[in-house]
Amino acid sequence: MVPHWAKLSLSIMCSGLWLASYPGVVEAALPPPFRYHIVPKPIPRQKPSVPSIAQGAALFARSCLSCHGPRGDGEGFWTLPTGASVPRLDNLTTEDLPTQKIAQIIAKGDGMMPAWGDVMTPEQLQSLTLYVESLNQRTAPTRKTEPPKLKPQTVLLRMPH
Amino acid sequence: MSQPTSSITKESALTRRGFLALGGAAVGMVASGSMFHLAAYAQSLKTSGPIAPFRFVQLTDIHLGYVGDANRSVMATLNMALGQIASLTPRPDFLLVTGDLTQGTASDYDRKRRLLLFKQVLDASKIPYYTVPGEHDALMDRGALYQMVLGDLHYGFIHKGVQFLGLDNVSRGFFLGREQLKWVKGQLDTMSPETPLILFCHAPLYNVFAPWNWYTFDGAALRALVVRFHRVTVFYGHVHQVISHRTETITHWAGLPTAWPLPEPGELVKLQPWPQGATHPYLGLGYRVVDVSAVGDVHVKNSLLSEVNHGTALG
Repeated sequence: MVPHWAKLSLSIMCSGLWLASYPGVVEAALPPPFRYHIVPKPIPRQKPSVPSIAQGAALFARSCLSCHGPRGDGEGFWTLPTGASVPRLDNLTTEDLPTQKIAQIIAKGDGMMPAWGDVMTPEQLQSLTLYVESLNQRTAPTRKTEPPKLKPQTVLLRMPH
Repeated sequence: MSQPTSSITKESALTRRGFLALGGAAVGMVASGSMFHLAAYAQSLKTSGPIAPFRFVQLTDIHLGYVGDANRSVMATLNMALGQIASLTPRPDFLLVTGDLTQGTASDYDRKRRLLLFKQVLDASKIPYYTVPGEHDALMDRGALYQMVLGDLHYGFIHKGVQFLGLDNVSRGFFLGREQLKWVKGQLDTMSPETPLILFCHAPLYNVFAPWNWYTFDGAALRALVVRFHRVTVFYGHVHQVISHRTETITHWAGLPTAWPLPEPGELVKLQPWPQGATHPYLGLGYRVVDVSAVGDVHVKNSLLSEVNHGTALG
């Protein structure tokens, strides 16, 4: 026969262990001088999810802003060697420049536009594409569907009585 | 008489002294082996030969073919610079022209004509010259016509014990690109770090001011390749003013243009030259005389076109 006091103490010990399994409980239970000795486990540095618009913005500021301008409106701070105007990037329509086309121009270049694929990683190129897209009010590409053909149907004419 | 308690006899036991001796011998063998390898590696590294003192001149941003108020005769200022260089004592061994030899144009015909004119003028100076492209020479056709008229976009040569590398960081955009970096790595991998190294290119290899394209996107990757060399100097143009800077162990020097000066970087305004003044037509124009000493140290003297005749020069 197990005495009551043993059952009670065992249940207290179990509940204490269960409580201690929660993070922070042990630290809070300790008296103040001991709390400072507990070094919290460092949170591992989170790798930013790439590609991202944030990374694209940083790349834009470094490599595109000089010619295309900070707003992408073609008003940059540097003149092209031929004096030609620089295309706007804030009025790209989904129909004329789908995402794949933008990505291709960034990677392969076009005229005096550099081929950034020679130096940027695929993630950087994707981030830049995302950022350039974000400068525009673009909608998801809609599939061009033909208007539904009207099936020949029986027309019930209400005959006057 | 007591019996030995252990089965290990004194001769076969690994005593502390024996253990230390063994360890010492092992460390010695490994160290001597690695020293041998290091010595062999050091011997396998190429040097560029004995260094002899010499002089060369950096010319940059000539913009032949430009018509406008920033410089009303780019040919006159180029000829003035070449005339002053011809009278230098001792004479320079060669000229280093760091890009923007011609003013950019959309017409292939005009670009080729301007590049040929540049070649004709420099050939007439009777001083050997090495060039790298600027964005005005090469950005429009990725350097196709430049290569046809003046040769490779990037190359290396050794002059009196100094390794020179001419780089192209403009023809496809303001970057060197993976292929060129691989080429540079191939050139330098087997080279002794004592070799004096001089790089010349058009755009700066560090970030001077990116909004004006005064930078090289992958300049840090190139600097990492050359940082093990003891004496590295970079001569560049593009910024149309004298700027000196030090990154890691590398000294960067921007050269005086012969076309027109440009404002100091820092303000987010459109980069524009100002009209050539009537009272100071040669303001900010010049060239750089570089003397390489017998130990490979580089001494530069920036000479202004307007001040050389008076016997003064910027240090």
